[in-house]
Amino acid sequence: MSVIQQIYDSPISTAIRESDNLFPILQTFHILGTIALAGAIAIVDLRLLNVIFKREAPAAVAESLLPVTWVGFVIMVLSGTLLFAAQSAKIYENNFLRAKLLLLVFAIGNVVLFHSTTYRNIRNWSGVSGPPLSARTFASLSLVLWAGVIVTGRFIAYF
Amino acid sequence: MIEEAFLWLGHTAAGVALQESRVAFAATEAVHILGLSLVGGVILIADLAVLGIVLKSTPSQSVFEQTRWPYRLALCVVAASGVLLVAAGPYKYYTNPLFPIKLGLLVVAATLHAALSRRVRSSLSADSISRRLAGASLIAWTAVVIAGRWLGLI
Repeated sequence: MSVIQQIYDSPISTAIRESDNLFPILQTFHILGTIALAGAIAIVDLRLLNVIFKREAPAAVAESLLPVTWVGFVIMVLSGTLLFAAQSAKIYENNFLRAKLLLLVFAIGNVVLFHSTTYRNIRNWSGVSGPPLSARTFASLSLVLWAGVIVTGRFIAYF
Repeated sequence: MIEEAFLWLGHTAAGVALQESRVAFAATEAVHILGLSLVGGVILIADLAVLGIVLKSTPSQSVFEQTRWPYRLALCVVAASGVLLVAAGPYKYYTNPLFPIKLGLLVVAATLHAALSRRVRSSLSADSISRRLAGASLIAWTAVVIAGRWLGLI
């Protein structure tokens, strides 16, 4: 028996499928977690692109919103894992699910790369020139990748 | 009258196009969620700032001044895509008892944000009334999302 089938047949997956309300409750948590994660990330990215919070230092915005991002991320991953487990045997071959997971890996990779390189100098970006080109590139990529995760995520249900 | 408005919406070119294309419908939903993430992000950050949890070094007044236009733009995206989603299934929403509840909650949530914004922008520090408004706003916006999810199930 395949691993996916074992996940699908596990007691917790079965319980989610058999309950009237557990699935939409998990979906609601997934949406709320996504809003906290993507909303906070978008605001930091837009700060780096000099679109929002121009009066605040990039470091003040980025450092302050990081915990919100983490809380959203944990809620999103936990609820997402359970939602996947409940439908695993039916959707693991879905191309939008695969595209979404791939984009998620890229989006997380983008965050890790940004934080281990350009971000280390963030406290020095408060001058007139603002965030350097590398930071603006990471921010643009981040917006595109997270939007891609959300769009492909929505498409899973339809194809 | 209201029924006619819903039916008219379903007969518009956009409504017909969305009823015929699954891709267009899913794409509209995706835009709705993207806009929602921005509205939700701004609300979350603004309310948490008033509650003293994030952006502690920034006066709340400044937070609300700087998020005013991003909030309005994102809300327009959510509203426009929301109208299109209704046009894709007008009768489903007309007959859904949760639809007026969701819209009512949205009005309450938006009013709370407007009241909090006005209060915070006209004072130097966040007082206890501001903090209560911020807490109420977080609850109201969460309720909008919950009602939105259940809307599709009934």
